[in-house]
Amino acid sequence: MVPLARLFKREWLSLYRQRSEWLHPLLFFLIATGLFPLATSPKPALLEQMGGGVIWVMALLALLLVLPRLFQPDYKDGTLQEWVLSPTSPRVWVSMKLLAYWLMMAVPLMVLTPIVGILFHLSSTAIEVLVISLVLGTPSLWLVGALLAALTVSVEGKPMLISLVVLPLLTPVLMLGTLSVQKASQGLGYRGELGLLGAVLALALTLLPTLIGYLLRVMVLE
Amino acid sequence: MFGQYTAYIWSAFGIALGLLMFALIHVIHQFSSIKKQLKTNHANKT
Amino acid sequence: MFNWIHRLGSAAVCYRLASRLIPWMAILTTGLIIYGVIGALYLSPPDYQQGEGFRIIFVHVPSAMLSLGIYFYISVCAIIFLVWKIKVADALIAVSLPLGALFTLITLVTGSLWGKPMWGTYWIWDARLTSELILLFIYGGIIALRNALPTPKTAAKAGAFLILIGLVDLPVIHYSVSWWNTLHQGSTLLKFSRPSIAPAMLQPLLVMIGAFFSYSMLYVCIALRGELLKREKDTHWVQNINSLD
Repeated sequence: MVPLARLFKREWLSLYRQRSEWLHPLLFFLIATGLFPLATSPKPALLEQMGGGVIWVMALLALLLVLPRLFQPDYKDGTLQEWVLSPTSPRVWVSMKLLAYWLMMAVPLMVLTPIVGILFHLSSTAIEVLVISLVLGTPSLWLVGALLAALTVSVEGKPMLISLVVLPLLTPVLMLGTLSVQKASQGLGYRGELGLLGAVLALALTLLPTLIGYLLRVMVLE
Repeated sequence: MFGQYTAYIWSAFGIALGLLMFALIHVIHQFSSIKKQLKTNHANKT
Repeated sequence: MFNWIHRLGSAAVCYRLASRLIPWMAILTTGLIIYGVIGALYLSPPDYQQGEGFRIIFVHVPSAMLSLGIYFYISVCAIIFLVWKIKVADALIAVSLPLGALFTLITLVTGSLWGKPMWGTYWIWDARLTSELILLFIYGGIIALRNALPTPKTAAKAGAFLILIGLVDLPVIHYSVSWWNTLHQGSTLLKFSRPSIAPAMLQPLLVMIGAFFSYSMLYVCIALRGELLKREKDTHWVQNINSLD
């Protein structure tokens, strides 16, 4: 367990000391979500319909802001090569890194979600389901995003590339999440969508860290 | 000749077959220019 | 037989095979397209429910089948490339990606032109249309990724992985009409019972599907020849081809 704890501590500290890595996307999430009532209409009925979807999309976009800087700084200064060549399996390092990022950025996002939900006049069941769907969905989003970040780690000077390529792959999770919130606010059953989100999460958690580590090794050792 | 659907049918067939024809012509042209370039490279070398 | 498959890994053999296939594919495509279009527009009877408007099916269904079929065949090439490191498989991927994207685009456009007279709208966000649109974005993403990576080797590898990752969309598209309540009609051909379409309409449809399929083979043969020449331009067999011409 000691290497795990040390890896996690390293990632956590590096994030803690560079607040802009996670703070700026969070602020973007808040500001951009706030744009929607200003741009469309402040009518509570309309905002309640949009609210779940807007928050989900903004959470996704905040993630897209972080992804280019997930592996590239380590790739550029050679740390990634050290990790890939070391005897520990790369999936260990990948999971610790993603865990640190997720705790540092996604958890505050989910803490802020009820407040933003109130701004969008969402009912309390809708907010509850929204937070649960985010808890179940954001790790999957992060894992798939990290997969694409691993594939594009050696690309120079094309910051938007990850966002373009990863969005089609993230839409299923997005749709499951927003569907659950919509059904909750309409009073219909939402357990099915949450269950599917949980299933996707289970698949992602078990399969993707190994795949991400493998891809990093392939891309770095080219 | 197809009643109210005439415009839709002709535009659908036209777009589909037109795009496919355009793609085929494009790829034939690409091949011939690659061949031509190889020829000039070869001629320049010998 | 394995010897024959093994020899296909060589670029020169593939080039020769593609060159020999082209005239046959050209004749087949022209014949099938002419017969198919005549059958589609003149010979087949109007539908009792949709009237003349259903005729768009004769371009919409073949291009839909090919948009999925090409992605599937590209995935097989990706596996062959990753496992056996056969470079011709990567050349096939490079050449077939734009064609698959084109078929997806044609599917969406012809479908939308069918939707307007039939359902009254050019577009609807139901499961099948949305997942086909996502397929178009997946194709675009793979092409963008392959073009973005610096070396051809990394581009090929990363592209192959991305193709396999995107493969999850294919079952979603195919089964979307049975998993969800969609506006799009259900499966008529690719199901395990008899096709639920009249024979007089089925025949031109099958001809058009065959026409699009042989067109794809024609396109891939021509484009593959160009791609192989480009990749192998420093080899002996390419130089010799030039001096023979």
